[in-house]
Amino acid sequence: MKRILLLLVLATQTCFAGARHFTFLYEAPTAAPGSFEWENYATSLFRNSQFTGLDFRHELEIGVTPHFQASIYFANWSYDNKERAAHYDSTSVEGIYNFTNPAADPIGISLYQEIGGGRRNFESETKLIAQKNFGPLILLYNFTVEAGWKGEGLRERTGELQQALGASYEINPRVSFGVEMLHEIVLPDWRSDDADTNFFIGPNVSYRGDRWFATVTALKQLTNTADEPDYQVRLIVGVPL
Amino acid sequence: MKNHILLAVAALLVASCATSNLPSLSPDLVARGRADHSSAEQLASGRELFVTRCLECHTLPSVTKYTREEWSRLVREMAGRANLTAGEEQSVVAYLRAAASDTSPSP
Repeated sequence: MKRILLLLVLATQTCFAGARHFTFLYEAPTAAPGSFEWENYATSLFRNSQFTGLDFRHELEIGVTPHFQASIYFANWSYDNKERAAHYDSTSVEGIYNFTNPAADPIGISLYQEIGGGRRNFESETKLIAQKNFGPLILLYNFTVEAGWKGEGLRERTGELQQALGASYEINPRVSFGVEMLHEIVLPDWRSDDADTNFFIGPNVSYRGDRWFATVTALKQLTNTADEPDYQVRLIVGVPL
Repeated sequence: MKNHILLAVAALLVASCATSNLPSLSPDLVARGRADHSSAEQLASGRELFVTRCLECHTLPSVTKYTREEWSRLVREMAGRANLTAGEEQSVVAYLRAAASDTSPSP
């Protein structure tokens, strides 16, 4: 049994599931089959020039087949700076299926599905990912539909439609710079007459080391929605297992 | 303004169809691969692996950017991170060597 475990560790120790050029958008390529990667997300939130809190996610990403990857988000949790307290939010699973390749085909298309739940919430997130690579330039588009149920008996409903655009340019295989834009339509109780529209934009930078990668994005809100952060900075660090 | 946007979209669509830096398996490329002791199946597999596995970490460089010997070294260096088996690594090298800038096989 120990030998089998040792062989499994040796077989996977150099595998890398893939590095990310963006933090708020997902890319079309999926992880290599048999690869494992640990990704940590940290998002700092600022409102009225004050630090208000942090959101965290811890993801195990697994390449299952040449075109399918699965992930487990063990804990999605947040730290509220006003209350000086941390709150567990949910745990979720995700699958991404890649249909076409962004470099070899006219456009790269993937479909993403995530479902998650916590003590009093349940969420579903479906995403269409479209990507095209022009040499070192990556152009990316995500269209996302989110539905959530929360509260006593999961009676409170929330929904969101999101479009996101991104561009990233690799100055060499290790370093890239880019921009990310988010356009969100938040639908409380799934009703369009109470909808809030939010728009965020900001730069990103990514570095890919031999055994890790790190990508950071800083977004500024261009709309005036009081419930949303004025600024948010997201860092994702990934290491192969 | 509307015409400019339409033109930009049309240009993007035309450009998106161009995959000139990813040569397909033309008779010439297969002949160069055979001269380097690689089969057509190996070259096809190598091309598929190149456009999927390498893309997971970085964009794809033009196949003519490096020489045959440089490609052999580069793929060897990155094979672990791309989770390539020894056979898959050979296929990727075979395709890139056949498509590389210095197309005549080594003696």
